[in-house]
Amino acid sequence: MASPAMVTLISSDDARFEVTEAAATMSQTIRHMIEDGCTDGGIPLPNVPARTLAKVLEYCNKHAAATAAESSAAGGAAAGSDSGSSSSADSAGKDDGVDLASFDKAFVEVDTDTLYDLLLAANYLDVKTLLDLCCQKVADMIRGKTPEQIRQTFGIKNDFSPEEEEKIRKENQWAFE
Amino acid sequence: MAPAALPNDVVAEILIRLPHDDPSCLLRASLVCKPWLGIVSGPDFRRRLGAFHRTPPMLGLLRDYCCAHTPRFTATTASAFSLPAAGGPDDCLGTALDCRHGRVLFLASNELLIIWEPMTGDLRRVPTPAAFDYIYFMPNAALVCTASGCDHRACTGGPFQIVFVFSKSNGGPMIIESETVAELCVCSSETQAWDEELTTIYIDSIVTTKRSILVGRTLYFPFNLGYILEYDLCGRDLVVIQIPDLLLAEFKGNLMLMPVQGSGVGIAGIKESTLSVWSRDASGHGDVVWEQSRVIDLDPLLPAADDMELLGFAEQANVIFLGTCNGIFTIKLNSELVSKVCEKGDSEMLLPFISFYTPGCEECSVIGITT
Repeated sequence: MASPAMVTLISSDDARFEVTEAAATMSQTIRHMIEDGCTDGGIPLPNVPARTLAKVLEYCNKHAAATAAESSAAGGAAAGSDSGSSSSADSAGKDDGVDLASFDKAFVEVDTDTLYDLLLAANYLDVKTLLDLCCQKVADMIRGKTPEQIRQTFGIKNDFSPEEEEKIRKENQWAFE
Repeated sequence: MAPAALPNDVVAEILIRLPHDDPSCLLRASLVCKPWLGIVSGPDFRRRLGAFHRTPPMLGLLRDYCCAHTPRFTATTASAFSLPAAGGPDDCLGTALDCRHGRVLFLASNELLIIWEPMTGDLRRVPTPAAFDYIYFMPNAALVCTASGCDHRACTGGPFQIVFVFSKSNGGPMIIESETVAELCVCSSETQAWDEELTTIYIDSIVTTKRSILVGRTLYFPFNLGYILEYDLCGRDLVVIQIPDLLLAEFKGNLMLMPVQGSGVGIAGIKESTLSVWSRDASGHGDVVWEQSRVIDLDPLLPAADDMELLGFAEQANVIFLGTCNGIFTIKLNSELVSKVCEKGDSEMLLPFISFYTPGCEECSVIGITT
């Protein structure tokens, strides 16, 4: 098998990362840059620091590899004529799914600063599944919390005046019961 | 996490992922800071919620709607929820006639209908049709969204139609069912006026106050004695359908209209503790066949009761309402999952309120955000 195409990504603090094109193009932003031929000497990502880029690439590498395994398993199943080979491919695919779900779950078990950096990077790099994952994680952290607890968790400043807050609370008493 | 640094788009993506069937989560999040409140009260946020969750949740029931006061609202959400007040806590909007696509239709008086959109606070008034007089019979009406190609996920603020059906004497002095006719008239939000022509339907029966059902672009109004009036919103055709005597006898009145997938209108009926669904197949050459399409044994699903009564059907939620001496229950048709909603009241007429919830106008007006 030919070695996979590689691209070089350059973080905002000038760290260089060599990754497979399959992993890099999980980012629509990078995909467009490659399509536009802006890859000579590496792709600069001025909005993403090395620490965050490394984490994003960990996610992309894992998912790109899983996608590749899935498609080769599907190809194998299609090529195999007897039912035995296709069922083994099926179970391999299923294991990957479980594996990927637990990887995702562990991946976002991070402090809020890191989660915040990941959100910004996933948004800028346009890695849809990663953005979905991080948004769902934040939503899970928000549900069940009071406005004050949400502000504390994410370091958000309360810009309502006490009078405004009191008035809104009074009108929506049901949400605080 | 500094809120200013998260783009609005990302905040919106986070907040649409809060559980849509538990509105308190979104309301509390909207009170975190002004930028967040601004994001969730914008019209774009409703559209995104609809695209993400696809089906709007059932937030509660309007109950006892056939009384001369604004119906009580009972939340069916995981934690507490109440509809915003229509105009004040003592506001009496009237008798609720329908609740669909996020709006409620009230008969406020003999002369006045009120359309209320709880999520936006919008209140509109439309006079009842000139020929209408409910001295003898309550009318029935359907309030439907008419936005073209609408998926009814976020159609608040859009165009709608009222289809109003009422029975009246057929000229004679005595008000008996065999001497009545039904009239149907249509009013659209764009013209705010009733179509000039009344359509008269000769049915030896009066229209009931049970809720109509909407299947695609066709409405079905239940009449007494097993008659159903079919009205096609596009072609404006009217057809009178009769439920076979055999089924009427089988269920002894404990039946209701409901949509049946692939067939259009059907009925559900309860005999002893068995719920059965019958679909109407009119595809043959002039022959109409009613076929039993589903049977659900209620014994293992509900606490034992000998007074099971069908109370209604929620279209978008695909849920049947059942009342027994033990309370009001919902049965999800997909999963046959049963949940108790509340205790049973004296007269159980109920309208499901199905809509996405977004914190809205009142909160924003307090702090001067315009949406």
